Amino acid sequence: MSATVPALGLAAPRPAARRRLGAGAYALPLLAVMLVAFNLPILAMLAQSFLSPEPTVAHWAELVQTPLYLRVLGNTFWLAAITAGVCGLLGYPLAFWIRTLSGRAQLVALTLVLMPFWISVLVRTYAWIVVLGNGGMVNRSLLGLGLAEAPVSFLYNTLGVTIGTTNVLLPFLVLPLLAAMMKLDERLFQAAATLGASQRAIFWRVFFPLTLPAFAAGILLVFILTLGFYVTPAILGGGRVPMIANMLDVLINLMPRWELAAAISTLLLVATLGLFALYRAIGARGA
Amino acid sequence: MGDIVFDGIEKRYGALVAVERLSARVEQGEFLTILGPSGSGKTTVLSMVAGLTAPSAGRIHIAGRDVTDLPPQERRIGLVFQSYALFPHLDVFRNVAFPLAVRGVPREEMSRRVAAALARVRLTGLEKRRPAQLSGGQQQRVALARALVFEPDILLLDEPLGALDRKLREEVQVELKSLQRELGITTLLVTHDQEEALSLSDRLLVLNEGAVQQVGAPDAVYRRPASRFVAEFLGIANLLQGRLVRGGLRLEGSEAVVACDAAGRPEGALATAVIRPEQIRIAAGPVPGSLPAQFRQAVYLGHLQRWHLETAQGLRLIAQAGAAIPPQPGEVLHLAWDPGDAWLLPEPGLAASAAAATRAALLPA
Repeated sequence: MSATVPALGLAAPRPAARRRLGAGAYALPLLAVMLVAFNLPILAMLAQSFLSPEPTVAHWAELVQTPLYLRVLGNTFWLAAITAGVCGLLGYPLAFWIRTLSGRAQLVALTLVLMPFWISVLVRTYAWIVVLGNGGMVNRSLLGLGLAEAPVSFLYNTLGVTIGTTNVLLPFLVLPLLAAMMKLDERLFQAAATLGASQRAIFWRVFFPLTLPAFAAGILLVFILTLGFYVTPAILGGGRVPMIANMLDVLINLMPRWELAAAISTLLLVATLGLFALYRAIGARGA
Repeated sequence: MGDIVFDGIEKRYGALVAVERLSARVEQGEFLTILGPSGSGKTTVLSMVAGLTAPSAGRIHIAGRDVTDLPPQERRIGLVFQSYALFPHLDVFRNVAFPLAVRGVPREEMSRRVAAALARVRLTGLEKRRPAQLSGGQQQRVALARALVFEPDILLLDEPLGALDRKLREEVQVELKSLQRELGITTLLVTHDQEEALSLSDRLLVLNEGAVQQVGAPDAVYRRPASRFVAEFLGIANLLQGRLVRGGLRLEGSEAVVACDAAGRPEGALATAVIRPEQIRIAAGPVPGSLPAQFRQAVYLGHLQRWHLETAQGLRLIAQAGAAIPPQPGEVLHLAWDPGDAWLLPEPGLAASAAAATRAALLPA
């Protein structure tokens, strides 16, 4: 599958290119606006890390030599990894279960998965404080049932931030994964059964490998999206779980150190683009 | 290796009867085809044998074992789907090795058996290809190798040639038949394609609306159809309806008496004769038992042509002509055939269709 795609692309580059240019001409004005009003300022901003006030690598040196910045960067990637992992562990069984439901139940389950999209992230994040706080619903239940002796601290730590990010990002994993699962041909599993494969063997040898590209792509997408979170760590982390976006806020609004912020942003952008390339590569393999 | 016994199997979906009390036996080593139009229940029968659909009543035995309550995994069947259902994420080798791998066959034996199965379907050298990199015919052969590699008791084929183009189809037919003979494996095929059914099978089972219409050798079913449905479904049939008289059949609403062998039926009885286009001769002039008809048009098919004709009563007939030059439209020809070639449908088929006007039916070939 993957081998034929580039081959096809090479076989007929000319007509495709001409057609794309013909239709693309209409988008040129918009493209110009995007470039001038959007992309150029971003590049100019990023260039600050090298050009402010004159060509220098001093800001980058400071970034590399300051343990705090590197720790926040590491912390951000670590949180993104945890969120991606948790979303994967919750999302795969969830998508698998939704796939087995009948038409109407499937619609209800999908609506429930999508519901978080309809509520502002800010509102949802504050709602978690009410739910998870020391006097919140969860802790009162735990204490009431005798499952805990003192309130469990869900908030203002990595756990709280992970709950928040997972809540926001789970649909981004479940929806494409479910779509990939629904696309699978039921006859493949029937064929596997007639060939002697147990239900377990059918899952691990046929179903899971066929959904793996979509699963991996979903996990990467969650990872990438977590990298840019600001509101959730700010509120649920209570300033104790700093992520890149929060650090940029401090560097720009309090310090202000635009050059350093530009350097960190460049690093984040490059890392994200790299991951995005990986995401595309995995997605292409699955298609 | 073994036979398949259907013991009164039935499949109902609520009030709808998909398969009606089917009892039949596929002999050890036999190639039996279930032939029927779409919706006839043939695919339901196949999936009941495979264990993918549970029958509402009756039992199925494979190789002497009652498999009715067994899951597909334990039935020891090789099934080739119409869509082939090859695993897209596995290469050819691992597709064919799949049934061996799930049985825990040791690596060396697995390689040996996969190599032998691939050699048998002439795919040696393509082990590393993915299904998407193969042609339709090659995919079909991979599916066949995969269904046979674990030496199942029986082979089930679901319209295996349906997805192939016409030219390739005959080639695969020949290969499939010789492979089946060589292995001596009991084979059940379902199809709506009469050509596929006639060319491959030892015996045909014609199914319509869930009920068995006729069982027999392809030649017998074609020449001596048990009902109007079978006559019309298999090939082209000229159906002539009338009353038996001395020396032939007097057509309904006409004085014409055409040749037929009354085969001991009483004079005056209603009867329907089936005459195949290739049995009709064009006589030089009126002869006893011939039927005059106007020439309408010729359908040219390369290796043969079909002449469409119409009698004075509006009865349409189709005759097969070789390389003859077609006459002018409107010219009257005299159609003749041997009395023995006019097959009289058995009584029940006659009773059911007594009201219907005699006509020739052209079915998609």
